[in-house]
Amino acid sequence: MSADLRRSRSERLYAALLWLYPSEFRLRFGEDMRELFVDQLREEHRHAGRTGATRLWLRILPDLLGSAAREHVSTWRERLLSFIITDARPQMAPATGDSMVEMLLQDLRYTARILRKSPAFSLVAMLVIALGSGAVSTIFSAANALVLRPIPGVTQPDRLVEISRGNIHREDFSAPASYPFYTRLRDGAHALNGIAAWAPVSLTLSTGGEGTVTFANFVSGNYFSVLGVRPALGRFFVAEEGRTPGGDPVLVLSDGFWRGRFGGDSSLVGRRILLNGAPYTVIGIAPPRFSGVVPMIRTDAWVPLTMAPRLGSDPGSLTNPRSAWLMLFGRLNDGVSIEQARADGASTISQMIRDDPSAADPSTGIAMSRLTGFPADTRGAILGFVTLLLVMSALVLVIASVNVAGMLLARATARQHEIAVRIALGAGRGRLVRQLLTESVVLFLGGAAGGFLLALWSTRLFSRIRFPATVPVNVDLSPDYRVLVFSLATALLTGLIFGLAPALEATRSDPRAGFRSGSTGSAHRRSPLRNGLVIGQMAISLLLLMSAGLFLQALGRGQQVPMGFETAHVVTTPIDVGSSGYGEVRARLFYDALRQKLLASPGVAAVSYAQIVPLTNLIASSPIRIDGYVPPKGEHPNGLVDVNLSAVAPDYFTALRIPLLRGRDFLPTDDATAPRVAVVNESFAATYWAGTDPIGREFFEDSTVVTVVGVVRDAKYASLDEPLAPFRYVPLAQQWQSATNLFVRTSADASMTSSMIRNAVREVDPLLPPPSVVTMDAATSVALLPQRVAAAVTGAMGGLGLILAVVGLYGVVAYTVSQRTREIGVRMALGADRRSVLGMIVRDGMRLVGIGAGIGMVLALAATRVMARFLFGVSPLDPLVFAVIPLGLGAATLVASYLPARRAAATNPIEALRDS
Amino acid sequence: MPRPADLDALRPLKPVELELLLALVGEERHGYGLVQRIAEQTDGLVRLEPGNLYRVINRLLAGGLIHEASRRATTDGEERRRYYGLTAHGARVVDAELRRLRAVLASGPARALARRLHPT
Repeated sequence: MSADLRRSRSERLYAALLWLYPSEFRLRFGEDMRELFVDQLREEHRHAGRTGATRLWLRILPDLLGSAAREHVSTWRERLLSFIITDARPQMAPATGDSMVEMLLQDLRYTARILRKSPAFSLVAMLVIALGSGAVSTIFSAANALVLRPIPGVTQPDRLVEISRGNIHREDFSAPASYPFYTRLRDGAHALNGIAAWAPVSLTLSTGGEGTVTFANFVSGNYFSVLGVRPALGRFFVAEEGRTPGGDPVLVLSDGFWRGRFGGDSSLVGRRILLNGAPYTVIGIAPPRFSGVVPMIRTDAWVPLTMAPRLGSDPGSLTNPRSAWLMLFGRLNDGVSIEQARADGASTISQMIRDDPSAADPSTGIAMSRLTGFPADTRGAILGFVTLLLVMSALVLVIASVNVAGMLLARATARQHEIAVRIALGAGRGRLVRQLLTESVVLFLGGAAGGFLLALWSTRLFSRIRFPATVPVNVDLSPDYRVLVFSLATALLTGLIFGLAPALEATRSDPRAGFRSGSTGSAHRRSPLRNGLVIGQMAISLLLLMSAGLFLQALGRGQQVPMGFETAHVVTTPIDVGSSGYGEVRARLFYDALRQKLLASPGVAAVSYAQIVPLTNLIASSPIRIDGYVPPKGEHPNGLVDVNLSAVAPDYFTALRIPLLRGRDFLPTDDATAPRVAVVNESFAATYWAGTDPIGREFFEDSTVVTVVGVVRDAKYASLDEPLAPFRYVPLAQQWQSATNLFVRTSADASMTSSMIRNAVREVDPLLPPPSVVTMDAATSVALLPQRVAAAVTGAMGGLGLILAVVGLYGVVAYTVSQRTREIGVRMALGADRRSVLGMIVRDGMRLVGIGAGIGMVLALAATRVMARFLFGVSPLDPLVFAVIPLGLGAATLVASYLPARRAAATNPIEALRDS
Repeated sequence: MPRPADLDALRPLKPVELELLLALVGEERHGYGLVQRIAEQTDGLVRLEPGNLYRVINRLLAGGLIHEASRRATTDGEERRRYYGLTAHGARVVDAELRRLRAVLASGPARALARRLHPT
């Protein structure tokens, strides 16, 4: 299956690249070329298997770029020729056009000759650019995939808007909508050509045997038509489906799921399968690339949202205006702006509240923004993060380009003689500069092509990383034509910018000087440009390295944050027998039986359940009232306070080793019929009952009395950077939910525990889907994901930048030494010893490094402020980073200038003087 | 659309063009067929990629050396592909080119060189 996917991806990329050809040629042969490519791909695949596609690309890319360029040139030429012939005015406008073309061709031919004459130089220059360009293309690829690429499979995605509900006074619009709210908005708003609703749900699908966990969406009947998606097979929902509660037991499957689970059997459409144990008819298959409106998360199936109460959701989910669970989006009518649509929606809502005050809170409002595949509230953070990484990679490209500029400059100096000859023969400076620019642009374009190949490879590497998330992440980072265009455009731009300075410098010189000194260049010229380049490189690589250092510190700091529980030797898995058709009584019996079975297994120390896996950014909260406690600035009237909570089974504190400070753990007897109890954390006790014994004290939830029976140590709950806050645990048995998480503490290793849990589940009920078990270490590592990614990426960028900068410094010092051979010879003849020559050369090199590092520190000071929000409280002025990194840079550059200096010190003064 | 005016531009034939024309002697072929046949008759020395192949095809079509045959279904019956065949004019040009090459081979310097490098 993966081979098919890759094949079609290559094919798509090739089809996109065909746009590089002139339109006439493409229209005539494009289709045939694509078919030929597919044939070749098939053949390569047969011969070389997995590496076949890569090998083919390596062969085909030069062919494609070369033949497209040549075809353009010949089309252009032909057009000019036919223009000259038919217009019969050969000397006028077309003549200048022709000479322009001729000149360009001449430049290109000359460039090809020059580059071929020094293949090592050309290759090294392109390689250096490829490294920088590869870094940028990789990050841009990721940015493209995450942020820029429109939701796949959707028509006119720019007319789709995300609609989020919120409180107009608090300016916070991230709440989902209830079903009654949705239907009223849908029927009342006319600026939008349809509003659709959806919500994620996990369902168990089976055809009679063992079930499979599927990630499905509940959707409104108009979901597909608002998105403008067409079925690949069968049909999608009609508007009536999704209006009658419980009336439409139908579903649509994703292409991937249909192929993976049913082998792409087209007779499946019209057949019945079991969802949570009840029969549903498959009516259609979605197109291959479509994966819902959040393409990063895999979606296997779509079910009408009116079936939600039958599939385990809250029974009031279709009638209760307080049950908010739907995400909304709509399509703008032609000529309507987002702002007009929002105003229209807002007036619909005020009408709704006037008609029926119970329908919504009076402060309810809505916000609209482009539908982008990310929830609106996370978009800013992700954009910021991606921009940060993009800037870092751009800096690496700058370092690489500076290196190449240095190389071009050195070569221009070596070609002084040739340039002098050409000037003497009457070549204008502009013409010469253009020739040199053509050379640098060709080098940069070649480098960018290499960088694109690097990006192809590195993004594939990234895609292999599996995130230990509880939802199926589905990220395709591979570059497309946009990335290619971007890297070629960047190459063109950088080639012009970084080629210009050396070209101007090279052609500035007095032609007579060029003749006098010949091409040996023995005169010692101090080059401010060359020194400037080194200083700039040092400054930038210091900046990159300091950022990497800060992220590493943040990662280390994050790992040292006391979590308040122990993750080692604990595994966890989400489990929900409700979605396999279990009612509450049967489900309770099942969970108990599973627990007993696991406890009897060897090595198991504790087994428990909890509503939430800590440190996965999930939080549950509900208001309580505490007698005698007045909230400082009451958000709620009636003195209510919001306190976060988790529902846990007995032994949860033992399983996670959360110390019980006073009182007792929950007991099996704390069930639905027993008085309500709670265990609170230290902060809870200290905040609400400071100085008194909290055991036996009471608080109220709704109007029910809850008695505190225990106090546990504070811990981190949702994320590592949250402040200490009151938290309460309630018995799972008193707050029933069929969807829960199993926790097992064991002395056995994780893979054995994993199969043990699978076996235990199968023994209790062979029809249940096998659980996917992860270690707690893996599950909680998500909390540090941004820091991990940032440290890895900036580390790689910083390392690459440092290598390039050190190579650049080496080149400059070595060049200076070769230029100063005569001077060194004189010094040594006059009695300078090796040591002082060595010192002089190294000092010169280190002076440049010192200036560069100073500038880099100042830049880093400014830049790290921007990163502060990703840094976990590590100060952007972290002394360790600000001391260690410059020292490390100093050591590396010392080596880079010492090596050529040693050669200088070994100069034989007699030979040095004789040679010159 | 043969344009005899362009004919002179085609002489002498480039090696790739000659190989392509030879591959069409006696049989009409589509793109992939051409690539395979050319690789076969040159022992894998000439390997054409799509871009270059269709540039050559374009040139030969314009010169009237080959013509487009009707589209035919392939064996798997899914796609319909364009086949190319040699025109009478093309056959004459190949023939002329081969005669030219034979004449080159038979020339004095060529024979002298062969004698020096491969003495038998």
